Amino acid sequence: MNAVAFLFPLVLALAPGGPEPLRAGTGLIDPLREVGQAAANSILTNLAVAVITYSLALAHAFALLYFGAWTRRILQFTLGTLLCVSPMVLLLVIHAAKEDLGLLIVFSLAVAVYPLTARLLLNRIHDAAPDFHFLQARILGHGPWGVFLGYAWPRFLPLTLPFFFLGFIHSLLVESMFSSLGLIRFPQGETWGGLIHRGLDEFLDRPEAVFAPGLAIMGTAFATYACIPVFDKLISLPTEPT
Amino acid sequence: MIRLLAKHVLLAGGRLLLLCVAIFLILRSADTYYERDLSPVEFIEAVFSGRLVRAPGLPPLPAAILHSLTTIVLALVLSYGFGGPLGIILGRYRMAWAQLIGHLLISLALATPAFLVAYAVLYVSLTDWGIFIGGASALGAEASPRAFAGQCLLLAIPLSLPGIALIARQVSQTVFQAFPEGSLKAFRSLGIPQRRLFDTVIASAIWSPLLRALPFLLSLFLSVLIVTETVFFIPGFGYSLFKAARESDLQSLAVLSLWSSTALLLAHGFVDLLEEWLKSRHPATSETR
Repeated sequence: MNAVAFLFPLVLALAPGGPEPLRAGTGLIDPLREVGQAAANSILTNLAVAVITYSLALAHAFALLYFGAWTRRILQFTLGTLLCVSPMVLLLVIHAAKEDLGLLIVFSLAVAVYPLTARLLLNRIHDAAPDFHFLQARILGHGPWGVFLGYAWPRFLPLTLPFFFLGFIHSLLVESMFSSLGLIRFPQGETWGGLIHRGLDEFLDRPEAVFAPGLAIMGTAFATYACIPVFDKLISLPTEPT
Repeated sequence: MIRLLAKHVLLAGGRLLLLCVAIFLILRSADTYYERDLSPVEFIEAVFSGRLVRAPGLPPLPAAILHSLTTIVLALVLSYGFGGPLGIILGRYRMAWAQLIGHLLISLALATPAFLVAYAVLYVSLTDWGIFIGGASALGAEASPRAFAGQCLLLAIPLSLPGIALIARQVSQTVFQAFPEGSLKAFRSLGIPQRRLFDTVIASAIWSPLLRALPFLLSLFLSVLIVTETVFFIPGFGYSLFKAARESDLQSLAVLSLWSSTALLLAHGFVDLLEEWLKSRHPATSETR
């Protein structure tokens, strides 16, 4: 127990009318209510991360298919290198380099989560959109935007939408893991990971302060997993050949 | 084979160089970089000899690495040992209820944050057993190998849960692809014994997903290890990373992260090389898959 206290020093604050010290923000507040309050922050932050991750991964996949062999090699090499950096390690380095990131933390999370999403998305896309289609389009003089909006997007969307949700789950897990270490503070408010870190102060007396946000993370991730086949079925309509 | 090896060595060398350059550039911009007069060659030598790791209060690195490595190996053993058979069972027995339960369990395990399992293990060990498994006890000179192994195993449990789920899902998908529903009916009508078919084809088909999952599992374990070692207060490699980040010592953190990236890079390179070599030896098997 001493070790836990050593790692996560208690935040003490004096109660307004008495000498008895209270832990800031805990004690009287119901953990479930706290979880409810942090839900919007957690979900919106990770949705923003998922949107950025998905867009980056999609742009990466398109650039890899559309542009020439050298661009492809460089992109594959970069992605392969990024995959060798563990997301948490990357976040720790970013944190150490610049402590108060503000909203940039969302971009940092997206950069940490993006390589795995891009790798999975590329595997799926490569079978569905053969290279020679893109080569034909380039020979016919279509620019990247035209090919992306006219040909690639309608084909990529139904195929890759599950990866948006997988990106969300991945981001949720990485973000909560990182914020549970207590190294960051989101400018828009506490997330579930932050609640876990705060709950560690009184882990033995009130384990629900740690397990309630943890179960909320698990429930959200599980519900998203369950939704993936439904969205997949809804959106996988046959697309018109271009 | 030599050509394949040369290609992968060059690729890994290029990636390592890119990582070294990135770390070098990050360090040059940091206030806590004390060795600004090092040349690039000296820098690489200093990084890999561990001379640049200087954060105060860091655990001794060889012991920390040994502890984390043992934990990761145990987690890998648990993941492959439980995930592989579970995936084969899910792929073989295709009753609707078994599939439903199996996939629910896998999704649940993948959705469970590994650190939550670590907190649960910590809570049980604190309240029910009345012990705090942490500190330098298992790493000290007087610690028994049994205490060391027990501590590593306890840490490996939260790590292996997502690992088991990931492996089980990969293997069951491979078995499904190798034996689509229609093919099973055809084999049955032809009177071909299914068991022999399964044993032969599964053995040749599942090595690829098992291999491919290895670098991802290592990356996952490394991420989770940072939290679990911090929670359990075990001075391993993950705790060293956390400690360096908390002290904002970019120099130590950069070196430690470069070490972990090099390990992942070697794992990726090894898996790619082995996969290509096996595919070149058994082209028919990979075509069938």
